[in-house]
Amino acid sequence: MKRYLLSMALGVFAVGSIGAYYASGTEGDAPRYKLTTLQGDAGEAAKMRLSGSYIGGVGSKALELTVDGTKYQLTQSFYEKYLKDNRYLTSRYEEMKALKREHRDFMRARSNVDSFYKDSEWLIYADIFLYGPRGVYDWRTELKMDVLEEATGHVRKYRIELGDSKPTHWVRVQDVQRIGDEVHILAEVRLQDAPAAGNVAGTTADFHDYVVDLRSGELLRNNVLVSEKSEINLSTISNEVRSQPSEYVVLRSNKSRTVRSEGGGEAVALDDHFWSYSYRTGKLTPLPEPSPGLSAYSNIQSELSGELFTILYSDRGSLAIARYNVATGAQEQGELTLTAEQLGGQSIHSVSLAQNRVYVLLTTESSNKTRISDGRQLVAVVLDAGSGELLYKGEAAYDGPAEKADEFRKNLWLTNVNADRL
Amino acid sequence: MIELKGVRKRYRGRYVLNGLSFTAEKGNITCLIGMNGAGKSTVMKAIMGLVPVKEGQILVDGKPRGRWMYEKISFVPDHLTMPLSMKMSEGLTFMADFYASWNAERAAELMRFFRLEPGEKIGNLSKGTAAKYNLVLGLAPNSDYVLMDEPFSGIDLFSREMIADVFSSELIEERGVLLTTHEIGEVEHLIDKAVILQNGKAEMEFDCETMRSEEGKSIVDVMREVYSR
Amino acid sequence: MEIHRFRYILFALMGLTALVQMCAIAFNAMGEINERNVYFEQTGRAPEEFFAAMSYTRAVQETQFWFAVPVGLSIAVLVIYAFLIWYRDWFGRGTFAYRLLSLPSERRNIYFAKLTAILTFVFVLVGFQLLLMPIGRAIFAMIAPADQLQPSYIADAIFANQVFKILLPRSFAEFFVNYGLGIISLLVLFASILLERSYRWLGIVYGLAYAGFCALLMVYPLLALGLNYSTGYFYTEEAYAIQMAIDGLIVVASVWLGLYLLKKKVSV
Repeated sequence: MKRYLLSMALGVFAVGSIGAYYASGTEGDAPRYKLTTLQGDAGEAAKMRLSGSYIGGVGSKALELTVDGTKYQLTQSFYEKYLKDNRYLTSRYEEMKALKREHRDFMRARSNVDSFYKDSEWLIYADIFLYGPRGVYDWRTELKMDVLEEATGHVRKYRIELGDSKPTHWVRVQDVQRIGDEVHILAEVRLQDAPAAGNVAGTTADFHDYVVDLRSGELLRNNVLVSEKSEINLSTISNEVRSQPSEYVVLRSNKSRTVRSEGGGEAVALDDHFWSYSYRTGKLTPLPEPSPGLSAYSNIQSELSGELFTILYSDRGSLAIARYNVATGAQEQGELTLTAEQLGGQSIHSVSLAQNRVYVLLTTESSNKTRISDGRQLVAVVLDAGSGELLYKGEAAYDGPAEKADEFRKNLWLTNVNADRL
Repeated sequence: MIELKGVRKRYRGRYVLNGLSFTAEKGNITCLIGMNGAGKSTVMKAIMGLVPVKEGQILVDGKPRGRWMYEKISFVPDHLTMPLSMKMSEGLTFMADFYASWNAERAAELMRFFRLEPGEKIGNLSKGTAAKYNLVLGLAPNSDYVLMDEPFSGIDLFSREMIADVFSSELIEERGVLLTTHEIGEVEHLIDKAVILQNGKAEMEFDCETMRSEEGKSIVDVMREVYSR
Repeated sequence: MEIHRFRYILFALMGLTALVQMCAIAFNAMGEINERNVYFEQTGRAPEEFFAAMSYTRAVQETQFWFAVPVGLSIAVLVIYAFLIWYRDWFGRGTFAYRLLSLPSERRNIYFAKLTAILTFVFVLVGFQLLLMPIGRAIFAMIAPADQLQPSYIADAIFANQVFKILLPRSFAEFFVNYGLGIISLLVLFASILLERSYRWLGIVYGLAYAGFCALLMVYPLLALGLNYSTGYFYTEEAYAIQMAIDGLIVVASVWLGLYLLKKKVSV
């Protein structure tokens, strides 16, 4: 036994020291913060995530603050890092997670959340792929549509060659909907123009609605909805719950310009046009132009939910909400504007529009202090997107002994607000 | 009794042992005789399980060789097999720890007999002293058989005499000894049985006493006969 | 006994690491104090205006190279010894392999004794490094004037060093994976060494082939199964499960192979 004394001592030492290190927490200086409710219902803030960093003595540590507390990026458990599905599609979207549970095989290798359509009878995934050697714009584009019949679980796969008059440069499916026995696939397509003499070839950006028969997989129609030259940006806003049926989709075109500010360049959208497109009728209805006051805002987010289209405008000092009915093309109610002061702060840092709620991250500052962080309070607010009613107001505070609260508050820098999407 | 039956072993392409069969009985001193490279050391190592054999059986007391026999067979190799930084006394402790058949008193007695300093480091020993230490390690346990590989090679005359003395003592009496050596002349008078190894086989296996009395031949005579064939 | 044989080298490595690292911290602290004094003499202003508070974490970050030297040396020594722990018993004047292979105890004990010895050395050195960190902090606190000292957390100080990011990662999961991979490599190495000891020249070929094959198996899933791009057929958790299954297989195969060779095929 005496022989093994050294071995045992070394063994105990090794296990002990390493164990102590990991047991005592390896986060180092990582204070915990919480959201204290100042007003309203904390349930409204359940989906809200505030992200930023703690900047202590040694540098910054990224963290995320929710009503449940603080989470630092640094330490992830074994499960989180390796075993959990970290792919964007299946971890960030609740409905995608549910679909993965129900139809594990169907959901394999899916990457585009907009390519899904789901109702009680059918689950469809349609995506368009470009084939060709690199660097050469190849004409061959293929539409791949997988259709799962919920009743039987049977999957049909269709492959359709699409031909376009000009070489295709880039394709992305933006929305998939079913009307009766027709599947509509809305895609943004960028085509190469024929080069004019001596000039660099420009590109054209189009929105196409490819209509495919559900049962036979045959391409019925190919409607070009909008076609613009390359300086114009096109985007779509499809129904928020992407895999649910929706008759409408909103198309947007805008020019963007880079505005230089102290932080660098910011892309500002100009000349915004919105259209509502009905899959059923094939009609494109332009939505009313935003008022000049709204066009001045630098930041736009929007959401389509059923027939209601909401646009959220924001910048540092205030935010504004406009709503439209996509079936009629008319604006609903008036525009709603709220200033930072009305929300309870001085400066709006970040906003997020999700499921008919507006999440706002504001700071309150006292102007007569020397450093920005001294008097700063971080406030998070949740509003109803329709009425503008304040549903929740909370403050980020240090979760710990009161004497340290002030010091740690200064070290918390939150920059973004986000909400869990469906 | 140690018994080899049809043992074959390959080394670098050729068969060093090619169907070797012989026996070494308990109570006898058996000597393996052969030219250099005939495979004598290999036989020892094969019995001890230090090298794998391709074919054949090695039986000890009727049972196939295995881990169990290490308490019954001791090995005295021709070179040092203990870590050089160990002291001789530590080596004895090592053996005592692992072998149930270790006899510490006999070990101490042998150390005295050979006049070995227990505190001396094994790495510092001369060839002769090392050989004596190996003998201590091999003879101290209460084993039934002792295998010795070239116990006399390179040893000075006086040490050789000491070792030869051990052979005649009661330390060896009831045990079965299998040894290999070049120096037949030196040990001829000690050996009971001889096995002559040639071409990987036991060319001849005979009792020395009988050979001397019936045919009047010494071992060396027999060897000459065998090698001239 | 394996540990006993190595103890002097182990203690030497520990001593060297302690010496080099603690001196590096001390010199760094004294150097910074010196800079501050020079600043004060030259400008007449308090050093705090220009320099941030002295921090152990920063000191560790600045002395990274010196910290890494003894660690690198220790790693090299341990890797070499992973080979030597077998070969030293076969080569040299005293071929201990003869004794070891004729012991009445199970031969697998030899294998595990050598394995656990190496693992013990590794983790003892890691633990010792962990122990040195608070000691370093104490030394730093002794040298630096109290009013200019900023408190540091050990974990942050450890993380300030690039080498420690791998050797002492923040999450236990990473630790497990990093050292797990090391252990798998060690097991494959042992199997390769025993292949060589069993088959000599041919054994070298076998050994290298085996090691190469295992390495390939470990890496292949990561590349082929599309772990890192979103359109891979397998979900991430499935691909990781496959990877871990392969790793487990390699562990079992290597240990089994090593034990089998030691018992049946190895020769002196």
